[in-house]
Amino acid sequence: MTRDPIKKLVTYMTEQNLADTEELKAIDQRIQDVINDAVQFAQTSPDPDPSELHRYIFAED
Amino acid sequence: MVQERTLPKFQAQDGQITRDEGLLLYEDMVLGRLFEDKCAEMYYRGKMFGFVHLYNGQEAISTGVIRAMRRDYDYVCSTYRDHVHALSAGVPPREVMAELFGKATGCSKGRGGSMHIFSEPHHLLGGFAFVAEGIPVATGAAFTSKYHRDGLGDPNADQVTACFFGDGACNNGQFFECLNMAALWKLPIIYVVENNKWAIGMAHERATSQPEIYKKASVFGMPGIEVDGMDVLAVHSVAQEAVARARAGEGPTLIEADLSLPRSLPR
Repeated sequence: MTRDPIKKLVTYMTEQNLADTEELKAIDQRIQDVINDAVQFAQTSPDPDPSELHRYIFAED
Repeated sequence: MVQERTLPKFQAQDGQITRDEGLLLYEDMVLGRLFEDKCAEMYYRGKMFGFVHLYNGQEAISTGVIRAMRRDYDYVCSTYRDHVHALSAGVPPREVMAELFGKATGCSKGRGGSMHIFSEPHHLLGGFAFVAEGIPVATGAAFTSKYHRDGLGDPNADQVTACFFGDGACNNGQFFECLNMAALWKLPIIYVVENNKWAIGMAHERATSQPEIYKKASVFGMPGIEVDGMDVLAVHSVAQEAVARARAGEGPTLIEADLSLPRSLPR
């Protein structure tokens, strides 16, 4: 009896014939690609500009 | 009418879903899990710094509740364990990841970090570092829609707010004050307790006179439900009921999602 919520849903979906494991694995792969892309995006993004250091502390006109 | 019940076992008939709904819930939970796994990897490699509170094992709650709501319309208010709430609410993974890296392209412009994920277009109110800090904020958001509907007469103002917090927050004054007001004014809000039995390093039973949190709602005349936090179908169906209640003007619900984890995950 698994306590992992994702595994529980997989068991339900496959037992109820709503999806097969191949399909679910394909979703896993697609999501992993999304995550890897997010890391790539984050790593290549610029740091905040030092000139912004004192902004957003007081109300600005 | 929502009814009190003790932890239901994972029963297929309690949460009937269609194939499409199932795939949506599955994908949302996998997104949360793989994102947090990647965060752990980045953190241990020294690419990410400061506090990182991971959500592994709790995906059923974020997915079950937030996917029962209207994206970019309803409000979500989170805690310092906010990455996955943000993802379920529709904030792009790129923006959340960039925020964790402290980059200017992050959803909080790199100024917030892990505990201050925020997105105005997705109606994600944060991201709060202090325990129970988000409860009054969420209650205020619910008050806004109620005020617009009943005070200013806008029939379309039916936004529901979901307020997430942990077991530690339930011993805070804010929790009791806000539940009182929400029940009194029938605010369109659902309060979701993610009970992992630990307030950072304090065991729930050692700090709480009445450890069964869902029972505290009855004091305010509010329905309080306990649900298995590992069962996305149970959480989803309870959330749908609570959201429907709120949207219909029937008032708030307290949902306690029990997450008794078999071992302590790195927090």
